[in-house]
Parts: sequence; structure tokens; C-alpha cells
Amino acid sequence: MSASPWSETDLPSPLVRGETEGAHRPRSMWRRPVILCCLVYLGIVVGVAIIAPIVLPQVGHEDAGNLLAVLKGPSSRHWLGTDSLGRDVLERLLVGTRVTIVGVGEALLAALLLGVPLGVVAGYFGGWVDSVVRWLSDLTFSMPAIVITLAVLAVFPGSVTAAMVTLGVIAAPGLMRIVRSAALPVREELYIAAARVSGLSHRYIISRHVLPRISGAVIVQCSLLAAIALQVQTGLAFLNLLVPAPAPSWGGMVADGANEIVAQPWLIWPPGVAIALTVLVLGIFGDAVRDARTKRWSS
Amino acid sequence: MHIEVSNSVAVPETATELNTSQEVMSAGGRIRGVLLRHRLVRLLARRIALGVVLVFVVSALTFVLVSLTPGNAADDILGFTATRAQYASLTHQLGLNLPLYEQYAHWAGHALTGNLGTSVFTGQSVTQALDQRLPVTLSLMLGSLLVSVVVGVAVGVVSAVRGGIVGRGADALSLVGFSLPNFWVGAIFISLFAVRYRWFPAIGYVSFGQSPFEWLRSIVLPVAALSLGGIAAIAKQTREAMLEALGSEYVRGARANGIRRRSIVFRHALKNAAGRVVTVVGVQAVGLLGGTVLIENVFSIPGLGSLVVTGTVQHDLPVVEGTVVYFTIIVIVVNLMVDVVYSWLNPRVQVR
Repeated sequence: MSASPWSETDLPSPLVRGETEGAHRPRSMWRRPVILCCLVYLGIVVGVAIIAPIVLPQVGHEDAGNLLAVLKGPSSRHWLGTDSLGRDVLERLLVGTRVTIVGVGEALLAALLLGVPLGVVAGYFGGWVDSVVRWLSDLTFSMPAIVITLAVLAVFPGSVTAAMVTLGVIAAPGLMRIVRSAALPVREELYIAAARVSGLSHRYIISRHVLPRISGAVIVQCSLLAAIALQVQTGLAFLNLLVPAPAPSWGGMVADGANEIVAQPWLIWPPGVAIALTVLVLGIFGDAVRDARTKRWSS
Repeated sequence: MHIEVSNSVAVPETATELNTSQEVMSAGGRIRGVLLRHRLVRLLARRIALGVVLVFVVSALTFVLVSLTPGNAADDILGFTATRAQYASLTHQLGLNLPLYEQYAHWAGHALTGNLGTSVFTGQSVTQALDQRLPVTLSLMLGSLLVSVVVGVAVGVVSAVRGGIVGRGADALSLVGFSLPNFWVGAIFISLFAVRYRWFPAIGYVSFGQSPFEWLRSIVLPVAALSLGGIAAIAKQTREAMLEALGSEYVRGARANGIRRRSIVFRHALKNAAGRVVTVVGVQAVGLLGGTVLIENVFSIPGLGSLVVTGTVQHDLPVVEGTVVYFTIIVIVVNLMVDVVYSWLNPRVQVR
């Protein structure tokens, strides 16, 4: 560039922007302390979801614990106290993480598998797919998601997968719309035209140039979606519609606590804090990624 | 070209005629033309059309879904002890032997006349059960919508105008408000304000007609628990929209012209920020409606939400289907009202 006979002000704007972008490398986003902390927390939650049921296999089938020590507050023996059947709250909280996180994962996966490919096609190619995506998202925006999920549960009683995939499908058009509007300006970029002229296939351009550019928007939307899915999953579990009796889940534990609200008000706190903290971290994560992204791409 | 005799009431038959014979258009046609040209009417027509499509799509999807159920309503009603003849006659009576699209047409035809079938369990008319519970859910939803809008807009405006620590506090508040699941907040409120301090009843619902004061007492905690998320979202949007409006050229101009600060904030900035606020209010209204499902179960309130959960547990499909239809219609009406308010606030709005 420096050998170029033109002064910098004569450069077309995309190139100037390209140079300022070089200052922040794409990787730097993941080194921000806020984002790193969120990732560590989410990593721990996922780790607990995987490990806890393996280490504590009996907790999921335990109908009663120590019946001589029911509804106890936190102590050195039971760090988070015991529930109405004398079972250790901490153990149940750890083991209950799995069904909660798996539900969120299923909803996310369904939304991603439907939303990203269709959104990219709509934004990159336009045409009738674009109209269909817009129409679909108009339609699903006015769907009462939780009631439809309940209808699904009436048909498939107790199926976490059926309920959460339904939620993901209802959320997918919203994701499609985000992906579409993120992919739309990329199509107009000079380097896409250059890639086309040099004979690269659409498939290659999408995976090499379009997907990296929209990944930020997808991550932001996914963290929001995960937060909502977590609230819906725990809500349905709270209504005792998802997880059958002895097996623990975060939402089900809030329901157990609500039943003993007079005798032991403490019981609603551990699972509630777990839910709220995880949703909070997902929210902060989404905001931080969005901020990092707008700084990178703002011109 | 053949042109109708002037002053006749006949409406022109073709589009070309309509263009060439403007002066012979009947009075009715002219009014219709004016109306159709009117933005808002076109917008509403489009929205209502979309809404009707939506009700059909959602109810048909639910219908197909329900047909996937192993076993059918006849099984549920008769139980295991029924004879084959009883089963066959009930299946016939319920129309379960017909092809699916005929069953749906049958159901939709009845639904259009306000008959959504009968509950498999209680034998009560579904329409009747839903109509009984609708005011309860609506009072919860509208009450928390009112609280969310008033508190949310106030927090948003104050935090945008004051900035600094107040602004950061509002940001933190909206993040926390978003994170707390409403059923948990409801349980905390019961444990604090009903069990410990006994200010409000823990559960139950008193209708407005029975005693307005007790009605108010019975919905304070549920409405407060529901509103938290709405307040958070509306405060956040209001704050962002206000910050944008306050940083714009016309506010600088107004300030340079010596217009009072209060007038700038409310007459100029808030008016321009209102469009975005209304949009998020619409989204929140739909969210609050979903939230009533959980809150009604926390506080044992006999609304649509507790009905649909009971219906789900009992496998009472007509009830679940009917509730889906009601919820969809409420959502459509809410979106319609949002569109009206939005285009009233922002005359530049374009029909998409």
C-alpha cells in the first residue's frame, strides 16, 4: 500500500475500512475479560451437566433421602440444605443441570439448523426464498409460543425433546430474519463481486466470506435464544410437565420449594439463583459480543 | 370504448375503465377509493388478513398435531373396559373415522359459529370455559402491561436524561429484570409479602364484581411478578431510543433556540422515541400473555393459563386447541393495536 502513488484519502472507502479493521484481529473478541468470564461460567455449567449424573448416579432415582433431616437449611453436611424428603439440595441441583441444559441445546440446535441456512439463502440470493422467510417470520412473531409448546406436550406427554424442538422451530424464523439482514449487506461488498469474477462457487463464497461475517449476529441471537429457552424449559419443568417425579430439574426444584414455601422459604433460592444467574450470564455474553462486533464492523 | 351513462350508480367493470372514467365513478366507489388510498386502512386490512391466515394455520397445525396422538378421544372417554361396539359408535359420533381434512373442516365450521367442542373431562363447553376465564387473564395481562409501560418509560426517560450512575443503574436493572424467571419472582413475592408480612393473599383470585378492593389485593403480587420483565425490556428500549433522540440535530436546534429542557425531553425527544417504545411494548404484551400461563399456576388464579396447563396434564385436547385459538386471537389483536398506535405516532410509516 505504501508504494502506491495515491494518497490515502483517494483510496476507496472499503479499503480504508479494511485497514482499520486490521488493528483488531477477529480473535481479540474472545480475549475480552467479560466474554471470557461468561464463557468460563457457561463451560462450568455444561461440564456439570455432563459430569454430575455420572458421579452421582443414584440422585436421579432417589425417592427419599434422610427422612430424619427434612427441610433443613444450609449446614456443613448439606451445603444447600435438604428438601421436603430429606434429599441433598446441592446434589439435586447439580444432577438437574443436565435435563435443563439438554433442553436448551435442543431448542438452539433446531433454530440454528433451520434458521441459518434459510437465512443465508434469503439474504445472499434474495428472490422468492426471501419473501417466504419474511412471511414466515411475520407469522411466527404472532404465535403464542408457550401455548403451542403446551399443545405439543399434551400430545407427547413429558417429552423435553418435543417441547424444546417446537420452541426452536417457532424461534427459527426470527433467527432467519437476523441472518438475512446480516447477509444482505455482505452480498453488496466488492470482495464478493471479486470472488465471483475470479470464478469461485457460491458455496465457497458463502462458507469462506459470508458465514464468518454473520457469525457475530448469530452468536448474539443464539445467546438471547438460549436465555429464553432456559426460561421456557425451567417454566415447563416448574409446571411438572417435563421431568417425571423423582428426577431433579431446576424448574422442578423451584416448584418443590414453592410447595414448602411456608415451612422452608429457603428452598426456592438455590434453583432460582441457578436459573437467574445462567440467564444473566447469557444476556451479558450476548450484549458483550454485540458491542465487540459493532466496534469491529462500524465504519 | 363503452362508457356508462353518467350519474348512474354502476361501478366500472374493468381497471382501464376505472382510470378513464373517473368522473363517472359513483359516490360509493369514490369513498372506497379514498379509503383504500388511506395508509392506515391498507395496513389494517393487510394485518387482519394475515391474522385470519394465522388463526387458520395455527389451528390446522394444532389439529394435525393432535391427530398424531396415539389413541384418540374415544379411548380417553371410554377407558379400557369398553366394548368394540361402544368404541365404534363413539368414534363415529365424534367423527374420528373421517379423513383428517374433513375433521378439520368440521371443527373449523363449528369454531366459526363459536363452538369449540366440549371438554373431554368435564363435559363443559370449551367456549364457555374459555369465556369465563378470559377476563381473568386479560386483567392480569393488561394490568401488568400498564405497570410495565408506566414504570419502564419513566425509568428509561430518567436514566437517559440523567445519564451517569443513574443510567448505568438502569442498564443493570434491565439486565437483572430480564434474567429473573417470573415464576420464581412470584414464589419469592409469596414468601415475602404473603407469608412473612401478610400484606396480600398468597394465592387465589377475587373477581372485580365481587369486591373491587379484594380484586386489587389479589392481583397486586401476580401483576408485580409479571411486570418485572416488561419493565426491564421497555426501560432498556426507551433509554436507547431517548439517547438517540437527545443526541440528534433537532434537539440541538431546539436547545439553541432556548426551548425549555422539559419541553425538549417530552414534546420533542420522547415523541420521536415513542415509535420504538411502542414496538417493544407490542413484543412485551405477547410475552406477558405467555407469562400469565406460569403466573396463574404460581398464584392458583383461574385464568386461561391454568386451564391450558390442566388440559395438557389431562390430555384434554379440545380444551388445549381452544386455548391455542384464543391466545392466537389475543396476540393478533395486540399486534393490530400496536400497528395503529405506531402509525398514529409516526405518520411516515410505510406499508410493507
